[in-house]
Amino acid sequence: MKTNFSKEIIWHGLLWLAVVVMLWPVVFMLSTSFKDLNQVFTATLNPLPWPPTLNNYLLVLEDFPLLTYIWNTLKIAVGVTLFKVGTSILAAFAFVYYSFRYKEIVFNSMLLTFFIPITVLIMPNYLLMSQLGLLNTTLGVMLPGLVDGMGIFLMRQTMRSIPKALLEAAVLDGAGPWQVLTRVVLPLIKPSVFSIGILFFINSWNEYFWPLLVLQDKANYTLPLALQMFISAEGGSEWGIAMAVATLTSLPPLLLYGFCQKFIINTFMQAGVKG
Amino acid sequence: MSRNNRGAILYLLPTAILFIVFYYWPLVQNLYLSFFSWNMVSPTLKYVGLENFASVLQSSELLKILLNTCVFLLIMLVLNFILPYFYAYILGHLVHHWTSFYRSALFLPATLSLAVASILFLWIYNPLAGPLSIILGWADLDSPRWFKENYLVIFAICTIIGWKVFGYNLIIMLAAMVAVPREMIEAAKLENASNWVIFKKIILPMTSSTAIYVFTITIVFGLQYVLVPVNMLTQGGPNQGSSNLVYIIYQYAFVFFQTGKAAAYAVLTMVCYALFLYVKNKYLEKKVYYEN
Amino acid sequence: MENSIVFTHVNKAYGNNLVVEDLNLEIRRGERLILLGPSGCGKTTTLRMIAGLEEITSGELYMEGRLVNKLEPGLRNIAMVFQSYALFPHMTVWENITFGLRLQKLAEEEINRRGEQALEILHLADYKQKKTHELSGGQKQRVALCRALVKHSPYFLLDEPLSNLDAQLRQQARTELVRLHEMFRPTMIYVTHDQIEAMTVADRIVVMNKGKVQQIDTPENIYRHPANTFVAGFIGSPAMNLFQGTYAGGELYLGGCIVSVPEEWKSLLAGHRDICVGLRPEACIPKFTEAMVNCTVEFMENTGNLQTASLRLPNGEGCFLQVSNLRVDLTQLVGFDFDWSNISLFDAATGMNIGYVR
Repeated sequence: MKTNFSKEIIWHGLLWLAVVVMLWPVVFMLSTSFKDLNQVFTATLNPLPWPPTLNNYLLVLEDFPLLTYIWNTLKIAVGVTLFKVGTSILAAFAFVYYSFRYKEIVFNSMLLTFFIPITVLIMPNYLLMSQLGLLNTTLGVMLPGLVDGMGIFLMRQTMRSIPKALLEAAVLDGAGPWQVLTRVVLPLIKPSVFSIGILFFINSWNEYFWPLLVLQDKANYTLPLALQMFISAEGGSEWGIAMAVATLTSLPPLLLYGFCQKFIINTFMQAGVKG
Repeated sequence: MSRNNRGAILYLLPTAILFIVFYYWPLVQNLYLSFFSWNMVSPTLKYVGLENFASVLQSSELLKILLNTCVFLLIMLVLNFILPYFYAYILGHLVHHWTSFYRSALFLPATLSLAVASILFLWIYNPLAGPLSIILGWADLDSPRWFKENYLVIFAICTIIGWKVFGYNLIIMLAAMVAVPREMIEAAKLENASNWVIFKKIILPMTSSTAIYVFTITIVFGLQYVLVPVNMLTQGGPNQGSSNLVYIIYQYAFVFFQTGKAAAYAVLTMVCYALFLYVKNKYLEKKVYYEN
Repeated sequence: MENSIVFTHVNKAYGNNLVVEDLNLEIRRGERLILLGPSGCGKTTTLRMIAGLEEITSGELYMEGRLVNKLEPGLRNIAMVFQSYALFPHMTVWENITFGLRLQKLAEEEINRRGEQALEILHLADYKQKKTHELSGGQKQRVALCRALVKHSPYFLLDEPLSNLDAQLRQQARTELVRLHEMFRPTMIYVTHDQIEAMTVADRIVVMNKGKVQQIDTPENIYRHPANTFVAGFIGSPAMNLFQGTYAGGELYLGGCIVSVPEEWKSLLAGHRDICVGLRPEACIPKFTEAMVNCTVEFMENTGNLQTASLRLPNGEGCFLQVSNLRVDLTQLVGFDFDWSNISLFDAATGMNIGYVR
């Protein structure tokens, strides 16, 4: 359909406005991280600091165990992602492949956990972790995050998109449930598993609240927690350094998003939200 | 499909155990703790009956918390529900160029950490030298102290959440928008229907189930997202001006070390959430159109 | 011939919805049995019960004398072709057809032997390494057959296997199917709603409607001697003409005309009053002067090989008449005759066939 571009111009205007509002803070974060202390205050709005300086990054690397923070964050995010993808696949498969009594109730009760506010859970979970001696450990951060109602929901949606006849054909060929899952279902939903995995990774990488409670020792901090240290009560003046750390924290999600954005967005668009 | 149902248990077991231990058992434990007075360290819990609930319900603080919560929700509904809804319509049906660019650009902040967003906006909103104060300065306006004034602080925090969540909600609603059959809209256009009529008579009813979903997550998750900037930037201040139903639980547990009151607030919050979900299922879901 | 699959009093219900009701069916070893009926008649459900993909609500299903109600589908050694073909899109043609054999952990040479043979038979040797999305509809259908073939299974189930093909291919594929069956002679159960397919492929046809078996017989008998008015109306195109008739005093009142009944038919009709008379369009003999049944011509259709006339009887009932002689001018006819041996008589109340004089 050929459409008249000029008729759309007002809508493009509105969209551009939103794009600017959304992207400007990111650009601003990047540019500030390359400004020296002087530039931060004299050329605050200049998106292209000249000359750019790497001092902020060097300073953070020198004064803070940044590599440790990166490693801590990565460790947790990778572990949580792998495990969560696993549990989500297994549970979703049970809901797609089997029919059993109370299936809807079980499914809904798992999905509902998605709606429980985290602060309701943190105190009992904190007490549990302290009893288990898992405070200040990576495992303690990871444990409650190893399952995800949304993950199960998304996986189930993708698995449902596989024609039932394919599973039946495999069953008639003598495949057991495990073989149906590994030889038919998983190869077919590989792209979705991949993009759901990326989402899990980004979410875990970004997580702030629960790690804040469990990880008390600064040596165990993750990047989002480390950011907290650059907020001084009076607003501080180390903005260049703070933005450098913020940039480093944002880099993995941004890179992943940059490379896989079509993937991620399509997963959301296809999974639909209502099943 | 298969009738060997015992197999299902095997696949559900890991998930079920984790859910019970880390999601359902804590609910029970909250209820238990809400009957005791405790400070998290002392070896003994003192049974106080319903005293925690009584003191929570009678406090003037509760009123303030509830009011704050409502203000939070109202602003977030505008930024994260109504606005993305209209943008999804524009993006889904009114423009035909650069749509994938818009989608990608608008979704981008959704991938960033709320901790990053918080520190970023702390600088943007800095009243003395922050970029927003400079822009306001062009118009000879003085920047308010965004995070220090009652209600203004709520607005400022909501914009952080709005920035982060807008794109995510937009994509979800866009999926519903593009699922509306093109023929239906073309048929309406042949009848000379205006964009507004098409929106009202076709788009609105056809996307209502997704809209309800986004409405729900805006409310349910909104308050959770708020935790991060509140904790990083204001700690509930000024004078509990940015505390809310969800943050107060954390405050009582980990700032004031009063587990009983924290648990009582947790129970209260859960009741509110349950009520909300119930009312939503009962009254809202009935009125919407489902494709299946 | 021995029975290979036996249904006794089988019911299948989804909740309160009975989709197959009191099914009693004996399927003979090596025959081509067609389950035919309109959509929703329970034919696919019946097939899927044999495969084990649907649970049996009550009754018994035997295969080779063994009760299989609870037997897992994978253990029934069944080859099935799905309507959608159900080819695995992430596998090549070769991987698709050998998937089941690998699961059975057959020896590599055996897998290769069977696979190559099946590809040869279905002329697919050149497509061995192709992914399924690179294939045409007809090729996909043949791959699906191939996958069923390699199992060397005694049961060959087909669920509307030709419905996704266009008309020309369908004819070809039909012949191919029969050829395949003749080659290996498995017990073949074939679901379709297409009566031409049923008539050309079947040894026996099971006509079903609303979950109940209407008739089980050879294609010829089903065509010539339908068991009830449903079968009469379902088989044939145009369908069998069904006239309301009354038998009284040795005469048949039909469409406002009076037809005398031959002696041997009187005993058959004795005791009946309101009946339904079935007559195939091609069994109506056009008459241009005097006829047993008078009528007027409403319109004509000429399909090149056949002429079909839509007729109106004096009492207002309509019917069809069909001749293969293209030279007669049907617009001139005043009525039609029929041969009593071509007539089917049904009880007007129950719709059941009264019987035939042989």
